[in-house]
Amino acid sequence: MDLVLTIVFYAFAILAVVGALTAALSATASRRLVGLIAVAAGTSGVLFSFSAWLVAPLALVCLGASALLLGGGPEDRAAASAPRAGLVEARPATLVGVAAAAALFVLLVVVAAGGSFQKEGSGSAGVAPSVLGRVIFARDALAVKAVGAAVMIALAVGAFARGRRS
Amino acid sequence: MTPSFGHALVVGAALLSGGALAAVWRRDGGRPLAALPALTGGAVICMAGVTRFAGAGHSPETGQELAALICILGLATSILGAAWARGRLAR
Repeated sequence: MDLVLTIVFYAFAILAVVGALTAALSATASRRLVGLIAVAAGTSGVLFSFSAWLVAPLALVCLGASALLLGGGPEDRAAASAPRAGLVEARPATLVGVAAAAALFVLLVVVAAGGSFQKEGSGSAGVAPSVLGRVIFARDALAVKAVGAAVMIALAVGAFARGRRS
Repeated sequence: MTPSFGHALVVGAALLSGGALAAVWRRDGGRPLAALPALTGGAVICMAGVTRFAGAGHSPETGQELAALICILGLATSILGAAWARGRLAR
């Protein structure tokens, strides 16, 4: 990967992660919308640095549309004027959720950086990630795509049915 | 520091964890749905990283195909979630 694409990768990766944190922690709809748009732009930029020419604009369109759909809402106008609660005032269930999110991040980083992904599949655990990857991306790739398409159609039918009912 | 598959997975993990944080931080109304774009973005980066950094021996475009599928899946879930949230608010 050349220098320009390396810079693009890190810049957009930082943009995406900062956007995700902004969207997660902001109290107002406008900030959350900006965060979600940053996630869309950052993800698209990272995909661009991977030379994924078709998926990068698709991700920008899909994630941008998701951001516009989910970024705001009438309920946020009241919440914007509400006093802001920090981590100290958070409920115990929220604290447990935050700890679980942090633990998930640590676990995924340990798996990504220290697991058998980096050692070409020499994992000694019951299921090596590389074997799983070969199953998903090579042997059963068509079945995985079919399952994804079926889930997508089910979601579309669910959205259509819900729209008709309301 | 040239990006590798590990870097792509770390960025994907950060986005997934950010999405999980968004889902648990404020759980009133439709706010947890703001997690969907971050979760989708994390999964998409991991899938596209497979195509970019994987060695030979499998169909090279499968990762990008799955990434595109996840993008559309995320958009479909967002549409459904937005419809659900608006229906809940209307009641």
